[in-house]
Amino acid sequence: MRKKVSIQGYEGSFHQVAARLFHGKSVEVIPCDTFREVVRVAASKKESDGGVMAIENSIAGSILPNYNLLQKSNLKIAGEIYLQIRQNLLVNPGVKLEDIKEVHSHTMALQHAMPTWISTNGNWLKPMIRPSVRKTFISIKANMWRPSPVNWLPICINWMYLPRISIR
Amino acid sequence: MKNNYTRFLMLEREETVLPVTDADKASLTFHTDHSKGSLVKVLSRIADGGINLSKLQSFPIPGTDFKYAFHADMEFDNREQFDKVLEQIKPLTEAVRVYGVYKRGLWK
Repeated sequence: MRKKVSIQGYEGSFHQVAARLFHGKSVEVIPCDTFREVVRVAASKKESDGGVMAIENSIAGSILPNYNLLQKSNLKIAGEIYLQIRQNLLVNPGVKLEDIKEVHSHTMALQHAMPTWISTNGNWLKPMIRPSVRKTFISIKANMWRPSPVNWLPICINWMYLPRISIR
Repeated sequence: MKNNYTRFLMLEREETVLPVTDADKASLTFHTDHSKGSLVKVLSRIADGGINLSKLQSFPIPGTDFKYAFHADMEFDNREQFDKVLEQIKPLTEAVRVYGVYKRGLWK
């Protein structure tokens, strides 16, 4: 039977990659905006067969609130997946690295990526935290390929799913 | 940055999770009575049992004055080794809860 698991983030997120590596490519994901929601859906027999939750990262460290969510739930750990994270800078066609002033993304992606960008670019890029993963993702689709007066468009997403974003 | 890895937990409900054959890792949470040396006693048993403590994370117990619980990830060769150490640490802690005994994930 096809497994159904809750994930934090949406189609194309690293959580989906982790879910597919563990449960197989046919796994159905239930996108959630927050880790709290991931745990709630994972615990619900009616809604899912379980969930996938990030717990630590080699740059950003432990995701402390998630230990708390785990403790308050009755969920069990059936396994783990380590995933190499590669963040990609998306820009409008023709934009050069030195043109970029701001980088918009989810806080975790910015924590992963900012040190490298600062050192390779020489410029101080202003990280712009976007609280919602969903909105970050939607903003790529909506604004990514439109000409813009300011080069704020770069954003980080999972390279594996880049082709899924419709590019006109 | 090349060395950027995230660890994901695969969560399941208690009634559906199946025992894992050749399990070599376990996650648990515990807290001690907070007396002097109580944490060291627990950690010594783990080390004496030949278990690698791959993660020890403290986090506050809400409602207490800076009392902490611990999350531990342990790596071992076989299940018996873990079960033995678990029995040994139970009397040294006030509460232990095992989240799961599973197969460790690999990174390149």
